Amino acid sequence: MRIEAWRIYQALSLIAALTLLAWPLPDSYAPWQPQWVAMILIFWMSVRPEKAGFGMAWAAGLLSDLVTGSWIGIHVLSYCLIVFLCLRFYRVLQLSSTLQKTFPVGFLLVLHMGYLHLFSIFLSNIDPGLLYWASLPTSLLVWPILHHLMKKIPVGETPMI
Amino acid sequence: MLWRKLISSLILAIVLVSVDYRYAVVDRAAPLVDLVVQPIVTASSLPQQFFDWIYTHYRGVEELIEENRVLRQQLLEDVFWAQSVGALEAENRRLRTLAQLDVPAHSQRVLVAEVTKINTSAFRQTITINRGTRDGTYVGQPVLDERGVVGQISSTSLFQSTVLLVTDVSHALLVRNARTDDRYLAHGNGQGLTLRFVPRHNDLEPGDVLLTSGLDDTYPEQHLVGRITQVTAQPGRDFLEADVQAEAQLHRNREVLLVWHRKPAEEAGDAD
Repeated sequence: MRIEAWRIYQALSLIAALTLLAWPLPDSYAPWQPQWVAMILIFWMSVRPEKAGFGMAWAAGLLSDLVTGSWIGIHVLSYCLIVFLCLRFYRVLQLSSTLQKTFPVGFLLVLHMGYLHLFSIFLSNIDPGLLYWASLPTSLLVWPILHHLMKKIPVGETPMI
Repeated sequence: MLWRKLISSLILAIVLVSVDYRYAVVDRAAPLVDLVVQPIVTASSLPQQFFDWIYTHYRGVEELIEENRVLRQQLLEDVFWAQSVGALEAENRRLRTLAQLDVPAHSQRVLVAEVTKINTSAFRQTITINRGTRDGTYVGQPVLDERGVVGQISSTSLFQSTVLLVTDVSHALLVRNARTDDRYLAHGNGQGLTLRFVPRHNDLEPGDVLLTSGLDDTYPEQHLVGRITQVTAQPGRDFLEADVQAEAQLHRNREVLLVWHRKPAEEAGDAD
């Protein structure tokens, strides 16, 4: 069995995102850290929607939970939802340019963060406050750059249908 | 097909969350989890290590000599204070014996541990340290740093342990106001600590220093926990609420101090 090259890039980019997620930042910078894993997931869903599906969501989710030390399964829920929406509305992601993609990506990230926010209030009674949303603008600023750089690697994009 | 995949995934994930929430599966399987996570965590700490290396490598000799001098002075001062503490303790012991009170048994061993991982989750406030049962750690062991109380060990494996920080929502400890001697229960709230259900007209002011009371079986007495930043009295409610900022550098620690602390009664019960 031959492993396709893009699979390796996919795994590497996921590991890189997880490494950034685990990066211990000072308290004042931590809320501004972009949602790396979610963005990498959305990127792969936009270029290989038929291949990078729920399997990637599960891998990204389980590893995110372990790395951040939260209860296992929490990130999985959110990532599965993202993957579902990406698959259901794949044309929106596929047919738009890098900049246009920012809008659906922003929407998915709001969903992801809102969901984690709900969980943190529900399970551990923590209200992180308004600063919690600080990672949204930084994510949206980073997204075009990330997308542009990721496009440089041979991702073997699925032709538009 | 898509719907079916989504729903089965969601159900499975919800089952996972509830099982882990209820039975702390991941904490129990810590050694196995570390096998998977450690490479990622090590990689993420590389930039920091790199900068540290550069910093130590290119620091001037004068700077090091100066630092050495300051540290020596500090050590001298600390030794002086430590000696006077010893004398005070002996005197205290003598007085307590005269007054026919229980003599507090001090059998404290300490060990420095390195912080290997800081969990960044919004849900739980924990750190991982590089000491485990091999070094004699136990669940419920107090962890301090040079400023104050960090937390207690919540799970321990052969080579490392997880420390639940005092700011975690599932953590509470008995504290004593250094100014008034009043005792309170300090709950973690994710960012700091909170004193809840403090009776109104209780003498509590911002800036008050809270120490461990020594009344719980976990923490040794007289260690700094935090300072009160804000006291709120909501109209219509019978109780005050006070916010406390933890004194220990919970998320910036590189090294912490493990303390072997047992109540005298427990120690007598231990047949070791």
